[in-house]
Amino acid sequence: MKLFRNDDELERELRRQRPEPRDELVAMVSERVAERRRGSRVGFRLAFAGVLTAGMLAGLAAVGGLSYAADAVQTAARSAQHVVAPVKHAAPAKPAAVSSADKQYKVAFCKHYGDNKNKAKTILIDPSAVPAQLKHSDKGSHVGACTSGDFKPGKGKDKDKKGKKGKKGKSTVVKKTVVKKHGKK
Amino acid sequence: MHDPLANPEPLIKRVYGYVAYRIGDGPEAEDVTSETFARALRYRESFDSRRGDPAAWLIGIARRCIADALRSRLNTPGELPDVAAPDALDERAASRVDMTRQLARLDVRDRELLALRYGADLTARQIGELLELKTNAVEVALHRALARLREQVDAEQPRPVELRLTSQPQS
Repeated sequence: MKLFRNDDELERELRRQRPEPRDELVAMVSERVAERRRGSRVGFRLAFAGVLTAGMLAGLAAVGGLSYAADAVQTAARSAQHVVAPVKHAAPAKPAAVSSADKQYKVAFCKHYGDNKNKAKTILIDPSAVPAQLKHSDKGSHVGACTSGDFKPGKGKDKDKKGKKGKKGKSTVVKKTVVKKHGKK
Repeated sequence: MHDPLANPEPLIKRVYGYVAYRIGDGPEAEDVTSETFARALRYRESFDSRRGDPAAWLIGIARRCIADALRSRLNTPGELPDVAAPDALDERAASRVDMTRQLARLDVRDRELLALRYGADLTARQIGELLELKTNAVEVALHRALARLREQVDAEQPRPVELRLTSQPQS
């Protein structure tokens, strides 16, 4: 007796009876494949980021952008350093008697008045005001506390009477000008 | 790069169908299928979409996994592996045991061809690429394998009932 009359019937039966995997097997293998694909995507992303960075660096190097970028990074680093640990402005010459608040916010400036070489006094000004002071003050004015070089011995009088001419001709005039800031005295 | 395992589910079914027609439906076929996908994940960088589709690539891997499995087991290649007895299987599985058993009785070459064609659902051209044969040679070989299978199935069919009844002695 012929069960299959022709090849077509046999082919159909072979396809119909094709063994099917259990659902558990399909789920398990699919999950394993999905896990590995997820892992490889992360790797691919990292590799892509690396390639992109290398490309950008190469492009920047071609137009000299690296040194520009390095400068920018240094500037940023300095700014960050200022924020984290502010640098105290080192005044060229600090006045002898200033408060800690004055030290923190002001710089000493030796201001001359007119041609009178004896008329000069040390004032504390805001660092941002230094250029303006240098521009508008009389000749001889400079950043830093007044020293003996700012006075001519034996000529004129020190009207401020804050400093007296010593025996050795050294005298320092310190005028504590307190500019109140932040409500501090 | 095209990911050959982007949609694994239909591929799992095709690989399992091929493996089960080759070595029998059961745990061993599941192991081989699982191993096939493990190797595919490991070597998926080697997949070249210009050389064939993912199913053909996976079947190539499955063939090597089957060879390893057959080498490691003591049974002779022509025999079915130890599978559950038919009464322990569900109705659907029991109905398929016959065809799987029939395939197992064919020689290795015919079984391989029929498993590739009807288990993995590969075309004659894809089979030719796997076995390094021309497409028409595959078609002819498939036709012959089917003919042998049909003869074998027909030979095993029970004789008509009336003949058996006449041959049995009256009690």
